[in-house]
Order: sequence, then C-alpha cells, then structure tokens
Amino acid sequence: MTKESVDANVDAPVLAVPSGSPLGLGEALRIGGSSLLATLFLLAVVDEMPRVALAVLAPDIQNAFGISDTVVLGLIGLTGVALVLSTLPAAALGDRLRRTWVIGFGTVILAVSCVAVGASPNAFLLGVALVGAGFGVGSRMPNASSLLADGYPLAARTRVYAAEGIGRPIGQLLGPLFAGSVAAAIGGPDAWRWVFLALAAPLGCLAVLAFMLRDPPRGQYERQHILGTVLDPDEAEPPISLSAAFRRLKKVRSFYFVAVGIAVLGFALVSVPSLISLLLERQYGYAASTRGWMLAITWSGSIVVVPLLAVLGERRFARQPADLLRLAAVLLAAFGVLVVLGLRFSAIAPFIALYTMANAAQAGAFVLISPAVAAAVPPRMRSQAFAMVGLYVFLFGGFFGNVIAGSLSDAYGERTALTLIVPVAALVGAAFLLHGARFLVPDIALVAEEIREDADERQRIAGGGAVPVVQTRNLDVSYGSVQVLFDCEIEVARGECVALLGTNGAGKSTLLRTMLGLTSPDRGVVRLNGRTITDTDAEYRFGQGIVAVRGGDGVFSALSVQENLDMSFTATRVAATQRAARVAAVLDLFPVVAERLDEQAGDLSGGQRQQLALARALLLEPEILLIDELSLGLAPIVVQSLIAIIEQLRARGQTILLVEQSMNIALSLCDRVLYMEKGRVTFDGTPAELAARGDLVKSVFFGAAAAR
Amino acid sequence: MTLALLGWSIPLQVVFNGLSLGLGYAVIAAGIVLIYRCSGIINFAQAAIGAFGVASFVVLFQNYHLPYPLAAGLGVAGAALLGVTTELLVVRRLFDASRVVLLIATVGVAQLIAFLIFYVLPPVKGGPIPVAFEAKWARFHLGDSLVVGTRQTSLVLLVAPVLIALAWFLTRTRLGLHIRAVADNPANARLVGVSPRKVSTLVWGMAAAFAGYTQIAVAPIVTRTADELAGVSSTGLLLRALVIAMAARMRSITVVVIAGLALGAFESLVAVNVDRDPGAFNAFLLVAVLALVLALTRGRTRPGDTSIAIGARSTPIPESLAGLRWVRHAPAGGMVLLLAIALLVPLFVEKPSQLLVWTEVLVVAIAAISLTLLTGWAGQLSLGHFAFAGVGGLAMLAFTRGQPMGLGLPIVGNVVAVTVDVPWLAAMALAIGLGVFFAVLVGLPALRVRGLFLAVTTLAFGFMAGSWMFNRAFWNGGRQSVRSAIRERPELFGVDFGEPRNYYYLCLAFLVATVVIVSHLRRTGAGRNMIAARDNEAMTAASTVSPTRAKLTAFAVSGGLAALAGCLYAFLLPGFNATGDASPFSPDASLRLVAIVIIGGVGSIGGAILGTLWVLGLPALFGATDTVQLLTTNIGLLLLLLYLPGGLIQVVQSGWAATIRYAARTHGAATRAVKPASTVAFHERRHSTPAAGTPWLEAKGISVRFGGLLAVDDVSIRVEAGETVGLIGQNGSGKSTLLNAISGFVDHDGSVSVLGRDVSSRAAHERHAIGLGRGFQDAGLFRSLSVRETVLVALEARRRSLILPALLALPPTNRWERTKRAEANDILDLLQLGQYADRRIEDLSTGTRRVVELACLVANGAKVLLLDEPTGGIAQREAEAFVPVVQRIQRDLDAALVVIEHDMPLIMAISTRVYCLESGHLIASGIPHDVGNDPLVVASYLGTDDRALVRSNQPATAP
Repeated sequence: MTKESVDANVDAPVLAVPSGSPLGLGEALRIGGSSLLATLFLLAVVDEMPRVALAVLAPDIQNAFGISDTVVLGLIGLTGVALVLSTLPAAALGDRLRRTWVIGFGTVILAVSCVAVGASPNAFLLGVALVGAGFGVGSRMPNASSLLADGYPLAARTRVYAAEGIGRPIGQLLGPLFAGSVAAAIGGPDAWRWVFLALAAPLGCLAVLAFMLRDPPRGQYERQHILGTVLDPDEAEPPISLSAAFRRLKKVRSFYFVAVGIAVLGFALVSVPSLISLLLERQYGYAASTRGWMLAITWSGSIVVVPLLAVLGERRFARQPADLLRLAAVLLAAFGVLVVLGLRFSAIAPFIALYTMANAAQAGAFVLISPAVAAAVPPRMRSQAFAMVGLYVFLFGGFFGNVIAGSLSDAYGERTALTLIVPVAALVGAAFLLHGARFLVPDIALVAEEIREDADERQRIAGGGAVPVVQTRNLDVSYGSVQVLFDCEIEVARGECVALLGTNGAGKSTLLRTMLGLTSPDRGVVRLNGRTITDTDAEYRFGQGIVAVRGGDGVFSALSVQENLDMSFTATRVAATQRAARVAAVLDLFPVVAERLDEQAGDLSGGQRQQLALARALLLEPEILLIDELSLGLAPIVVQSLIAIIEQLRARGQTILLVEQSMNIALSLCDRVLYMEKGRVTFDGTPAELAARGDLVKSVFFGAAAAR
Repeated sequence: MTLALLGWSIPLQVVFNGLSLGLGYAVIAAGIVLIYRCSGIINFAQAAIGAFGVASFVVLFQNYHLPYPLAAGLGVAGAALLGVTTELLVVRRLFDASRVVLLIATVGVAQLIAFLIFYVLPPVKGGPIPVAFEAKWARFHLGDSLVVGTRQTSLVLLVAPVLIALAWFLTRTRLGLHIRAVADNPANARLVGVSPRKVSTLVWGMAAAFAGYTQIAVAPIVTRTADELAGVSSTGLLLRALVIAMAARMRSITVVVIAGLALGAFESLVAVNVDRDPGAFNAFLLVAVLALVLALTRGRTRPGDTSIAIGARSTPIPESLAGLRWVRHAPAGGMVLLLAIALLVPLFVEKPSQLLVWTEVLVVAIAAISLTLLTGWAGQLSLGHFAFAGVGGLAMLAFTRGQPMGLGLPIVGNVVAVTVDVPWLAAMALAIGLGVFFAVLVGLPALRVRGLFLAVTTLAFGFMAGSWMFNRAFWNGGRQSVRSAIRERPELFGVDFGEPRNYYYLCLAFLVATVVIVSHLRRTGAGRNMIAARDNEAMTAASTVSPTRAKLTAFAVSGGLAALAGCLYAFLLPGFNATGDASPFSPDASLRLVAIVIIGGVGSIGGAILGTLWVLGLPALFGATDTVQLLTTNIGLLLLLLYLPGGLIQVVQSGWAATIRYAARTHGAATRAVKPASTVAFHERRHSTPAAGTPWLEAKGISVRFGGLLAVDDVSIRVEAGETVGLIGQNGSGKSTLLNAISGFVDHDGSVSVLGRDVSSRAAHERHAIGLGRGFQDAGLFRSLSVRETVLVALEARRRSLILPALLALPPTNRWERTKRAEANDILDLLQLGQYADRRIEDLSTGTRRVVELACLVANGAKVLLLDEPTGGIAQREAEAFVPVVQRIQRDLDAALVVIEHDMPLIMAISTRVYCLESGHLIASGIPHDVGNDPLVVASYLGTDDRALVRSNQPATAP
C-alpha cells in the first residue's frame, strides 16, 4: 500500500474503538491492574509540588539570596533545561532497563534534590539542586505516559490519561496549599527551606512503590485490537536509538505539528504561574501563604473539567480521532483568551476566576493531546514521543520563554509581559494543533498497517516460511518533500548472492542507505533475520552483521592500512585471540593489502582501496555483505581479482547484495537480480529471465538523442 | 642576562615569561585542534567555555572557600558539562549544516556563555586568581638572572602532563583512533560501528574539560584579577590560538606547543623591542599568518580547505509559469515593497538620533551585501570584512582632511607622502579605490587557501587594522577620536547632506544602487564565473575562465562595496574612535557582519537585508532593551540558526516555493509551447585548424611529480586531426594525471602543444582557450548553478563576459547575455536537456550530469576533447547509448578526442589508436587490436576474465 492509498483509506479509523463497546474505567483497571495508575497518579501529584512551591515561594527565595526576577525565573528555567536534558535519555533508558525502574530512580533523585534545595547555602548551589530536581521529573514523564498506553486497554485510554492527568492540577492545587501552610506554620525568612525538606518523605515512599510495578509489553492492546489476538511480544526487538526515533517521529506529521504547537505554547505555559505569583505580590501585596491559597484555587476548575472532557474525548475518539486534537486546539486558544481577559481586571476576584477557567482549559487540552499522540506514533517509540513533547514544552517554555518573560516583566511589569506573550503563544500553538489534526487518521492507519504487516510476517514464518537474512517491506523513503522510494520490497535469503540493478537515480543507493540505517523511512520496515531493525542506528546494524563496502569511498584515507583494518574490530566484541587469525585469513585473500600495511590508505590506488574496503568488511564474517559499485572506475584486471574474491565468498555461502552499474558483471556473478526503476522494484528473477526482458532495461535519458 | 640579536635585546626573563604566556595560547589552540580534528569546526566558543570553568572555579574558591583541588575539579566539570550541552543542543542539530553556520553558532554560544558568567554566577568576592602551588619550593632562581615564579611553576606542572597525555591519547588509544577515523570519513565510521555523534559529544566534553583545566592553570598568567576574566574570551586571544592551530595544520599537538611557545616569546620580545602597544604585535601576527599561508600550501593535504558552498536555494520559476506576470514579477515586488517602506521611514521617525540608527541600517546592509557577494558567491569567508569598510571610511576622511599620505603600513610607511585635499565625492571614489586595493591584497592568499584558513587570514587582517593600522596618523589624523565628515556639510546639486533626512535618502539611494548592481551582476557572466570558480576551479578553467581572476574580481567588488559602506559611515557619526572595541570598524563589528549575513541567509541579497533588519532593525524599532539584545545577539542568533540554518531568507523561499506550487496548481494548464530546437552553430570556427600534418595535440616527455612520487614519467603522446585516441591503464597508472598535465592543472616537465601552438608555459584556462575541451571523471560541474547557467559558463569560451560593463549595466552586456542565453537554450534542446534547464547541478543524477558535461563541450566548441571516463558511474545501458552521442558531437565539432575508459569493447571499437600506461610509463601504443593483444598490457591491465572486460554488449559504431 503506498502513501496515497493509505490516505484514501482514512474513512475507517482503524485504531478507534468500535462504537457500542464502551469500556468502563473500572473494568479497564481490572484488566490492567490498579497499582500502575495509582502510583503514577500519586507521582504526578507529588512531582508537581516542588516546582509549584518554587514558584510560590519565589519572593522569599529572592530575598534569601538577593536575586532579581530574571535570575529566579532563570533558575526555574534551569530546572526545565535539566528536564529537557533528562527526558530523552530517560526514554532511552526505559527501553533498555525497565520503565518502572527508571521512574523509581528518577523519584529518588527528586527526593534527594528536594533535601538539597532546602539546605542550599547560596544561589549557585540552589541552582545545582534544582538541576537535580529537573532530572528527577524528567525521567518520570515520558515513561509514565508510555506505560499507561501499554498498561490499559485502548477503549479506556483517554480516561486513563485523564485520571493520571488530573494528578497535575491536584498537585498544583495541593502544592501552594502545602507550601503556603508549611511556610506560614513555621514562619520566618527560612520557612521555605522546610517546605522542600518536607516534600522528600512522600517522594521516597513513591519511589519504593514505583520499583515494585510491572512493566507491560509494548503495544499489546494495539495488537489485540487490530489482530483480535494477543501475540507474544517480540522479546528480541532491539532498543531504538534516540536519533532514529527523532528522525522517524519527525515524519509522523500529526505528531510533528503537535510537538511544534506545544513548543510555541511553551512560551506561555511555563512562565505564567511564576509571573502571576510575582504579580500577586507586587501589585496586590499578598504574602506567600495568601498567594499559595489563591493559586491553589485556580486549579480547582481543572478537577471538574478534566473528567468531563475525558468522557467526551473518549466518545469523540471512537468516531473521529482528529476531533481530539481539534478540541484541544480550541481549549488552548481559550486558555490564551481567558488569561488575557483576566489580566484586564484589576479586581482580584474576576481575575482569579478567569485564570481558574484558563487553567481548566489548559489541563483539559493536555488530557486530550496524550491519547492522540499515543495513537499516532508507533507503540515502540511512545516513550521517545512523550519525551519530545516534554522537551518541547520545557525547552522553549522553561528556558527561552522564561528568559524572555523575565526580561519583559523586569522592563514593563508582569501584566504587560503576560498580555504580550500568552495570547500569541496560545493562538499560534492552537493553529499548529489544528493543522496537525489533519494528519492524525492517516498516521494511525500507518501504525495499524505496520502491526498487521508484522503479524502477517510472523504467521508466514510460523507456517514454515524461510526467514530472510535481510528484508524490507512497504518501504517509502523521501528526502524533504521528494519521495525517492515507493513501496520497496526486497528479500535476500541466506547464502544468496543478489544483484541490485537499475538506472541512475532509480533509488538503489537510497535503498542501500535505508538498509544500512543511514536514512529513515517514512513508512515500512527493515528486518534482519526476522528481527525488526527499522529504527536502529547504522552503528547497531553493523554490530549485528550488516556490513557495507562503499564503492570509491570505502576507506579512511588518513589512517594507515593497518589502522583501517583495526577499525573493524573497535566496535565489536571479537576476542583478541580470534582477531589475529581472522586478519591472517583475510590478508591471504588480499596479498596486495598485506604488502602495504604501514602505508596511508590514501596513498593506495583505486583498486587497492577497493580491496582494502572489502578486506575490512570480511574481517567480521558479516551476516550480509552490501557492496555498492564494486567495479566503479576500476581497471579490468582489478575487477577480475575482485570477481574472483566474490566468487570465493559465494562458494563459502556468504550472503551478498551487490549494487552494480555493469549488468554483465552482475549477471555473471549473482543468483538473482532485482531491477529498480523510479523508486520501485520492477523486476525480481534470475539473470536469464532479466536478459529476456529487453523492455525493462532500455535507457532512460538518451533514447531520442541516441537515435538521431 | 640579556642577549642581543639583530639589534633586538633579548632578555632571558622576558623570553621566559613569553614562553609561559605562549604555553597558555598553546593549550587553547590544542582544544581548538581537538574539536577541529573531530568535526571540522573551528570552535570560537573554546576560550569562553574555558572562561566559564575558570569563573566557576574562582567563585567556588573565593566565595565559598572550597579547597583548590575541589574547586578546580568542579570548575573543570562545569566546563565539560557546558561543552557537552553545547554539542547536544547546538552542534548535533547542525550536524549536517555548513561548517560556517556552525562557526557562527559557536560565536553565538560564546556570547551566551559570557551572559551566563555575568548573570548566573555570583560576583567574585575579589582577590587574585588562585595559583596551584604557592609553596616556597615553587619559586626559585634559575642561573643568575632568571626568576621562576610560582605561577610559572604551577603552569608547567599542571599543563605539561596533560598536553603529553592528549598527544598520547590521540595517537595511541582506541578512542583516539575513532576520533581520527570520524574526522577522516564520518559516513564510513558509522559503517564500522563508530558513531560520529557519540564521538563528537565525547570530543566536545573532553575539549571543554581540557579548556577548563588548562585555563584554570593559565589564568594566573594571562589575567591578574577575576574582573579580567571576561576578557579571556576576547578576539585577540582567540586569534593567537587560531594562528597557532593553523601553524600545526590543525593536526599535531606537538607543533601546537612549539608554535605556541614561539609566539608567546616573540610577542614578549616585540613588546620590549618595538612597541609596548599590544596592537603593534597584531601587524606581526598578520605577517606570520601570510607566511604560514604560503608555507602551508606547499604540502599535499590542505586541511580546512573546503570552500564554502551554502548558496541560497530559491525555487526557479518553471517554464510553464513564466507566462504569468504576477509570478514573474513577484520577487522584484518584494524588493519594491521594502523600498517603499524604506522611503516612508523618515516621515515617521521624528528624533534625529533615531533616524541616524535607521541610516546605519542602510549602510550596514550595503556592507552585508558586499560580504554576501564574497562569501555566498565566491565562497571566501571573510571574518574581517568591516576592516575594508574602515579602510574606505577613514581614507575618505583622510583625503578630505588634506594631510600627508602614507598608509601607515610598516612597509609602505613614508614612501608615499602626497598631500591630498579633494571634494567629498572624489574622496569617496578614491577611498573606494583604496578599499578595492586592500581587498585584492588580502584576497591574494585566497588564491592559495580557501574556506576556514582564509577566514583566519581575514580575521588577522581585521584585527591588525582595527587595533593597530587605523591608529596610524594617516588613518585617524593622529587623534584617538576621528571627527566625522558630516560637519563639513557635504553638498551635491544644492542638496545639503548634513541634514539627517537628506543623508538618509542618500544612503538609501546608494543601497538601492548596490542592490541593483549586485543582482544584475549575479545574472551576468561575471557573477556566474565567481560561483563557478567557487564550485569547481578546474571546470572553470576548462571553460576558459581564469578562476584566479574570478576570485580576485569578487574580492575587488566586495572590497569596493564595503569601502563604500565605510565612506557612508564616515558621515554618519559625529565622531568615533578609529580603533578599539568602540570603533565601528572593530573586529567585533566584522563578526557581527558575518552573523548578519548568516542569519539572513548566505548568498542572497534579500537575506543580507533581512539579516541587517533583524540584527540592527529590531533594536531600532523596539529600543535596545535586554530582551531585544538577547534576541538579536546570542540567544536569538542561536535559535535562528538552529531552526533556520538557511537563514531568514529560508522562510521567504519556502513561502515562494509554496506560491509557485499554488500557481502551478491553478495555472498548470497554461504551458507554453516548447520551442523546436534550432540548429546550433557547431561550425562557428573558434579555432583555426593548423596546417595539415601538424598534430592537433602533442605532448612530449611529460613528467609529473607529487612529492617523492613520480606519477607520470616521460610520457609522449600525439593526436592527429580528427583522431580518437584511447588511454588505458590500471587505476593510479597516471592516466588522469597525464590529462591534467596536458590541461595545465598540474605542474609538469615536458612540452605540450595544441593545434600547433606551444602551450607548455600557459595557465590552464589559456590552454583551453586555445582549443582544449575537457570532461572530468566526477562530472562535478558547478554544483550550485543551474544547468542553463552551467552551459552559459561554458559559453564564455565564445564570448568573454566583462566585469565593468556588467557592474554598470553598460552595453554590450545585455545584448551578449541575450545571445548567449539563446545559444544555451539551443544546446540544451539539442541534447534534450530542456526539462532540466532550471534544475541545480547537485540535484541531478550522474547520468544527467554527464550529458550536461557534453552540452558544455558543445558550448565550448573545442577542437581537442579530453574525456576522463565519460561513462563512469552510469548504468551499462545508459553508457551504451551515451557513446554515439559523444561521437556525434565529436563529428559535428570536427574535433579530435582523447578518452580514458575502462570499458574495453567500447574503447577498442571507437579508438583509432590506444596508449596504455603502467605506473606512469607508457608500455604500449598502437592500433587497438595490437595493444589489446600486447602481453604487457594483458598482464598489467586487461587480465583474462571476460566478465571483467565485457562491460557493454554493443560496441559503438566506429567513426
């Protein structure tokens, strides 16, 4: 199925819940277990508190260290930077360890940081402690969201997210209450320190709980929903590299626009609470405890609105998933409008009332965005996707937003700063969300297609089908807006020698790059020995035995020949004892290389360089050897020696995929030939069959010119 | 003890102190080398990252009384964290961007770090910078007169082991190997399991820790008090480190140390013997840089020598839409809109001071356009461009002042001493001429080095001019602050330009003229040739255009425009300092200009204007508040680069592309009829054929030597009228080198004559003008030009573009351009390239590029075609179809052909004679059949495997 046909199929939102089968939250909890949601909810509540406390107590902290608005907002922003830096590694760690453990570790760090904040003797060390706190929160966020998606059935997902999401407003509500009352109870300029010290205890308990949670298999409910059965998760699935996840997620268009929208929104989201707290102190002269109470009240609306929206959202999602994002966009726009409206009132009551409504809208929007994101991105990279959402909010809002808001409010006052920043950020962010909504259903369809393809493939293998060494399915690849590969499918069986032929610009190199992990596909999978490696790095694939020889540019010119050979082993776990034997065996094949071990590779002739590249590749006994342009620009006698080597390898049963310009060489060397034209594989058969198909191989560019 | 040499006194103590200072320079340079070796980036933030380490260390030590090792350890850790953060957030995002964009990003990082140090770290509670070893043993006498202080002892004890460890790490460890491998070929590194990104993060972390550590060690020597710390990241220190790194060719840590010590000692000696003024040393520094440039290019490899190719990529209007008037005129419409706004500005700006700021925007835009021309088109990065403006401005003041003329250079000195006192317009013309002169002077090294190394050269020039040259009497009239020319109330046609509003309009007129001239230049041959010379020098020469001349032309035009901007500056401010940080012509202003061009979008005139509006216009519009400063300088610059690596113009261009797409959707049907190909003037005789019997090409006793390697050894070949000669041989046997020698691209012994004329001592472009035509192995062509423009460059062979008429839009430029365009279209139609005419070369497949190369040969109309593997890199069947086309062109041009090819059936079929080379020697020659059966040829080249020999099935028909 090509991209267009996926788009054409969008009337049937495949992942949406079939109407008439509502699933109660209680039932969902019975299926998924209540401890996961309970722990994550409590964490959401308590996690929020240190940051809220910081915002509420900002004036006291400013007094304690003698620092300006800009600095205190910058410090809060620093927490955000730490959060940014930790979300992605935390998501990656969650892939490799267990997500629940990463959350546990993060909570321990947060608890320790709270103690450190409380005890910090100066602004500098306060900053250091806040960085620690940021790390703690950052490691929970992406993992919690992806855990919830995998832990509970599809039909209750919006409400599950709402249940966890409501933790945030509750935390916001309790945080100031807690901070305000503790500060008031203890009193004095150092009361704020005790607030943070007191927060450490509940955090410690929750950390213990987190460690005891089970880590549910990824994407289990999507599989169940689409296939009707629960397949065993593929335990051997390799962890996804961050950069690959980044590249892939960028191509999930609905997610991309949501992330950008949230980034823009971040400018408003993070600086608003701190600035309003400052406003309440400066303009209205409220003390810390009063401010605590007031800000607590502003979160009360969310607690009412979020559950309502959850039920509504669940229903809309079943019918038209994109409505979730549209509704969220409306809510965010409402947030902007309400904040600005509130700021027009100098009387405190309407101001607080409108701000309460704004917060309700904001919290509601986020509850709706989470299930949309969870549905649009492939299940195995949900952690990374949620990490990116967090990253975008806090990178922009937490740091840049705060710096700008701080300078603006230092110069013009808090009210002006908010009036300038909030509406613009909210409306532009909402516009991006609306735009992204258009792509949500096609993206969901792609996820479903991938799951189906995976199931089909497993079924084929279970039915006695051979496992190909390398396989690509449904591959679409594009550079920017130019699509280069269309629905490319190739398979190479063990011990086979396959030639990949085609005209210039047919996409041979792009296909090779995609197989090597140098380019990310928009759609489709790459498998090695039956394992999906679509989203792994080139470095990982090399370790797994996909080894390439690049025509013309395959060696490190600045290194010696010996160092070039050494490079093969540096990233693999070949025992030192084996290395010498392998080098000796390979050098037997390439006497020319053996004679020149101490020379710089750049000084070798083209043929010798090609031999060195081949020698280096062979040191590893690859699963599959990808050879790009074997004979490019080489003298016949050199090509002759290379052909001889390839034949030896073939005789030994080495699996080879050979990209060649010279049809004669390819035909004489290979068992099977693939022919590509304009990004599609148009022929797959034996050399003899290809030779019979004159129509396939006619030249593209000069038909007319040559005929003259 | 004092020695004396050449009249200089050489006190040992001074040398010793200089050496320890030099060690300080060396360690900063070592960090720069380390990062450069891994990523090809010259890290301008290196010193600033180190300064952050020092600052945290001092704060921890002085304010919080941590013990020295702990405070230093935390300082180093802070620096390392900063380095890693920079890599993750900035470098990684810009991994695939141009190295120049990254360079500017590191400038932004440096500014941001200065901001961090200032705002985030608490102020230091005073006291000197702590020294590691202050015990009595650390201070001792060496001999009679040499005192070794605790600071020096500490430095050596701390730094020496680390430098040795670094050198050892790079050459002996596995990670060192990885770093070198990644630096050499990142794509390959990934394919052997080494992640360039991880290595990059590691290197940035290491280099940053190294910077922190070494600068903590060096700080007591370089600065005395914590207050001076901010100055540690100053351009002067950076320049010294860069010069040292350059001396080490960005490679050897050992050479870095030696060069650093030498520079430090030399600087101290200059201070004692010549001038206490630190600026004076900068003149010597420039001389050292120029000497280095000459020395460096003797070597075989030239690191940092990649030219800068980040031209703006505007979507061309497709043929089908060219009929739509609004689409055709939209680009000009944008400029007209900007102009209309600019015309209205004075009506809304009340305060003269505010109008002054807007006038400055116009003036800087002119300078930005001049840099765009040089960097974006000619690919020569100039980091000292405002110095040319300074030359113009200060010279103009000098000319109107009427004072003895002596340029203040040590050499020119007082040789020329004429008193000039001329009217302001004439002075302006003279000043622009002087700007052209200086630009060409500085541009001369550009003939030998390009890219980042040239950047160091221009940085050194800018620094020398800004800190020393402009301080000479000729330039500043002997005063610290220069009086502006505006007080003279310049007048023209009765208009008083001393009036701010009138002056604004004068500057606007100059800006409009600049835009018109420069954009016209881009559309004509002279501008195209600059880009061609940047993209591919050999191919440019093969098009009979001198790359040297094209590059110097770019420098001259750019220098002249910058000088014009400087002249306008000279009227602008009531008075200003010629030198120092506050000077409008300071090195920092030059760096800001580069930032403007990068922010706007390199290579685009609109980008230069947008960049100026962003950096200077925003503060003018909103007032220079902290926020605006933050947005227009450090954070804003970084954010813009991260999200718009192509600059602000990228937004305009994607909007434009969307417009084109929209127009294509709505008016797609309105295509113009394709013009039938008219006959191309193949037979326009450019070259007179020699007398019958004279060979068309004769090379006698050609030898080429690369270092110790004799690549071609005494080879002679001759090509008779209309012949096709095959050149075969192993890879590396010297075939391409032989062709390069004949073309004049490499130095050679022996003689070459073309069409009976001896060309042995001629430059490459002259040889091609006499009648050589050349095809290249990589068919690289001019990557950023369109197919049509590429053919237009090749058409230079028939009609040379002239620079001055092009600049002034004088005849015959436009008529010639029209004729050439028609010719180019005919040639494209002939080869069926019409549909690719507006596509950029870099977007084409190898096969199509090969056809474009043929089109260039047709355009060139040469008599002796030298082709290097014309079918290399294209699929077999395409190659088979390709050869008849080549033969037809050869026939139509009535040319002789020399061709290198590995496809045996093909070459044996088309050649009248074949030469076979082996290790630089000629081992066989004769008719194809004889050579093909020569046992020597079979043994060394052909082999016996038919599969390797028979690469095409259908040998082309013999001529």
